Amino acid sequence: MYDWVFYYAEPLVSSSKNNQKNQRSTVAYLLRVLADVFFYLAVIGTLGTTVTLIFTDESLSRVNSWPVSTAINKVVPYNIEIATLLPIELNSRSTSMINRGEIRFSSSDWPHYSLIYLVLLYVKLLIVVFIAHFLRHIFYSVENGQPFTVKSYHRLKYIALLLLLMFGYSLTYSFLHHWYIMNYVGLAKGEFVSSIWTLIITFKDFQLSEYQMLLHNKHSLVLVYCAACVYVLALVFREGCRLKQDSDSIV
Amino acid sequence: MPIIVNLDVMLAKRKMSLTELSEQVGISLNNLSLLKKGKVKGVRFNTLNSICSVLDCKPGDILDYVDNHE
Repeated sequence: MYDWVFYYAEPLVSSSKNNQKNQRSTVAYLLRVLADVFFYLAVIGTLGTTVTLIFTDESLSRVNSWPVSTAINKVVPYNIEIATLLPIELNSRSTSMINRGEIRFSSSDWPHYSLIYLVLLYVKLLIVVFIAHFLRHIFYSVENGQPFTVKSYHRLKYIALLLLLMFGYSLTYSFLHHWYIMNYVGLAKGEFVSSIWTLIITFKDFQLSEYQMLLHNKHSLVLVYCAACVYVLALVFREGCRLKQDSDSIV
Repeated sequence: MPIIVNLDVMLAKRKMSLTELSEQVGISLNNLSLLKKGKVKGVRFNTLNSICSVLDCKPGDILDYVDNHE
């Protein structure tokens, strides 16, 4: 217990006593503590999810929701009759251009739904845990005043790869839901339109008729941009590591 | 590498050990040992200045160039 307290309190005390602020940056220390908290929360979340899934029978929700849009029709707002096991609730939030909302549907007909849900959930949780794990080590190296190491370069590279994996996860998540909704959720009148390959929906590309319902995506290019930025940072760290090695070999 | 470090020759001429030089110059023994073996990528002018002043020599006495092709 006391070791754990001194582990977090000691850098602040020693930096004030020995004036070692150059060696141990307070900002890096706080970031490292935040990353530690984030990491432990992610681990606890993963373990908690596992325990919940083991000991709770009805842990997996059988009712899902998905964002959709319909065309403008002021006379008949949605013009779509729904014939599913659960009634679809369409909550319009914006009526300026199109009718946006969410459909709620039953996933009881989804084959192997529980398995797919579990795999996707654990992939997401593990990605978060590993990103937090790599981040805390990078902050720790910054705190120690030696950020330009080969390990930091590899960790940043892995974070970029994990962010790309997260994008792949969200793409898969969207794809599976579009597939299920288009094949298993029936509309008595009208049809679903998928926008799975559209990363940015402009609605100029989708000329929706009054009987069409556009399925939105839950993935975005932001993760790819973040991965690219982190990878560039990893390359900067690799160059910094090389320069540091050169500097160390000059007497 | 065609640059040869003759620090051991100069130390022998001055009858000085590497430890003594390290203490007088203010450079770690490890770094001076690496310099003597020629296992460094460069030498700072400050370091060269200190070594030359202690050993009372010129940089050319410590560093030499030998063409590998000859």
